[in-house]
Amino acid sequence: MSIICITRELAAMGEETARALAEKSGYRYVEKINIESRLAEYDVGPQEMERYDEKKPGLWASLSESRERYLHFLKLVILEEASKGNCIILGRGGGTILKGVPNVLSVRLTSPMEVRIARIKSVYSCDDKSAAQIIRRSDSDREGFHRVFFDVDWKDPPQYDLVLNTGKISPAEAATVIDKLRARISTENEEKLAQKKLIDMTLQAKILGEILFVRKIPVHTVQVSVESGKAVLYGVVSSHEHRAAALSAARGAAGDREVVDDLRVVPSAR
Amino acid sequence: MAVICLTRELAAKGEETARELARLGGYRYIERDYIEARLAEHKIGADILQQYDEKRPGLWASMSENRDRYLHFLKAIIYEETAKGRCVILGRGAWALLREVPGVLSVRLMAPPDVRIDRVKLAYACDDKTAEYHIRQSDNNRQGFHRYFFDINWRDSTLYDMTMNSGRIDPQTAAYTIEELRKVMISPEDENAGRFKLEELRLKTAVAGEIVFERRIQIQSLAVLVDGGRVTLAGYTVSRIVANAAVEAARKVPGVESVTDELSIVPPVVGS
Repeated sequence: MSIICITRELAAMGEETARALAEKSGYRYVEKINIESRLAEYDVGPQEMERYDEKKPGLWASLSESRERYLHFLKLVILEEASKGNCIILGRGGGTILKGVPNVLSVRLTSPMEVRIARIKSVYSCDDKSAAQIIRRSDSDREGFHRVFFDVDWKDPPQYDLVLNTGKISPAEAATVIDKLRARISTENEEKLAQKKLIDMTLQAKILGEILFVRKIPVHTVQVSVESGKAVLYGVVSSHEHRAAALSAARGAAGDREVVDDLRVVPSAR
Repeated sequence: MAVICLTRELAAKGEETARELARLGGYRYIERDYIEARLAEHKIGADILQQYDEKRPGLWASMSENRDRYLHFLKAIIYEETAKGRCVILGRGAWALLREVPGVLSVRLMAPPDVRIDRVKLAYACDDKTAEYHIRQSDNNRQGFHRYFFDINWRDSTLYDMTMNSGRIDPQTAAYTIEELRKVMISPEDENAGRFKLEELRLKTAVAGEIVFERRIQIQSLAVLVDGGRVTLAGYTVSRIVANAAVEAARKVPGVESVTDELSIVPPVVGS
C-alpha cells in the first residue's frame, strides 16, 4: 500500500498528472470533490471550504475557531482516506499531514512562469498581465495556506521526494516516472508500518476532534498520543469535571481501544 | 546521444548517483579529473582551476583574460565530450551550457540541511559548526559560479527537468528514476537533433577559439553564427587585413564548409 501526495502550482498540470497516475497505477484519486463531501460529514460546509481550501486565511479568519475546526477535520479526512489504502491525494497539504508515514511519496509539480502564463491565457482567454495576476494570486494563496495551516514553506524542496518540471515533462511522462518510483520504493515491511502509523494518527485525530470540536470541551492544552493502538490523554486541565468530560469523549471516540488517563488537574490553569 | 547532466549541492550524493547511473545505463561518466586533464591540455592548470572551477571568481580573476579562456575551453570540452554520446556529467555548469540542446536531461540533487550536516560531519570528521561552514561555502561558491558565468539561479527548480531529494531517495533508486525519466522523455528524434545541435555548438566554439585564443585576432563583439557547416562571422574590427585574417582562421577549422564575412570595419578615430 502506498500513497502519493502531489503538491502543485496553478497551471503546472497537477490535475492531469494525478489522473494519468491514477490510470497507470490503478490507485484511487482523492480530489477536491471527495474531500468536500467527506468534510461535510463532519459539518464542515461549502462556505468553510470556500474560505479555507488552499487559501491563505484572511486576518479575521486566522483568529477564528472555525479555521481550527477546518484544519482539524481536513487532517482527519486525509488520514481516513489514506488509511483506506492506495491513493493519490492532490494538494490540500496532504504531504505535510502525512509526514512521518512510511510509503508516502511526496511530489511537487512546477513549471516555468512563461509556460504557466501561456496555459492560463489559453484557458481564460486573457492577456499576459491578467494571466500573471491570476498566477500571482494563486501562488500567494497556496503559499499562505501552507504557511498558516502547516507552518511550512510550500516551495522548499526538502519536504518533497521529487520535484518535476511539467514545463518540459508531460503529465503522462510525469505519471510514468512517479509510478515507477512508487513501485520501486514500496516494501511489504513499510506497508505494514504505514498501516499501523495511519491507524494511530487517525485515532489521535478522532479523539482530539471529539474532545475539542464535537463535544467542545474547553481543554485546549490537552494532548493525545497514540502508539500501537493505545491512546494516552495527557496535559493539564482546570477541573475534575473537565477531566472526566475529556476522558469520556476520548473513550467514546476510541471505541474498544484503550485510553490511558495521564491528565493532571491544576485548578488555576486555563 | 543521451546526455544526463547532474547538478548537485555538497553532500547530496551527487558522485554516488552519477556512478550508479553510469553503471545502470551504460553511460560514460565524465568526471572532474578527466575534465581537468583536458583543460590542462589547453594550458589551464591547477592554479587557474582553483579560481574558476565551480566558483564565482574573485575580483582580479573576474577581470582577467584567464576567465574567458577558462569558460571557452570548458565549453569546447563539454561539447566535444557530449557529442561522443551516452554520458553522464556531474557539475561544471554542463547543464547550463547544454540548455538549448535536445536529448539532454538535467537533474538536480539536493538534501535537507540536517541530512547534509550529518553527512559532512561524517566525511570530514568535524563538528556541527564546521560542517555548516563547509556547506555554506560550497553553496555560495556554486551559486556564485552559476550566477557569474551563466546568469542563472542555481536552485531554481524550473531550470531542471527533475529535482531529487537524496535525503529520502538513495543513489541507486535515484539513478533508476533518472533512467526511467530519460526513457520517457528522450526520443531517437531528440537524440538526432541533439547531435546536430552539438556539432553546431562545437564548430562555433572552435571557430571562436581559433580566432580569439589561438591566433589572438582582435575582433570586437565577435559573433559566430553556424548553420550546418556554413559559418558567418560578425563583429567589428579596425581593418580589412584583420578581418581577412579572421575569415582565414575560420576556414581552417575542421568541419567548416564556408565562411561568410559580415565583419564591419571601423577604423580607429585619430584625434578630434
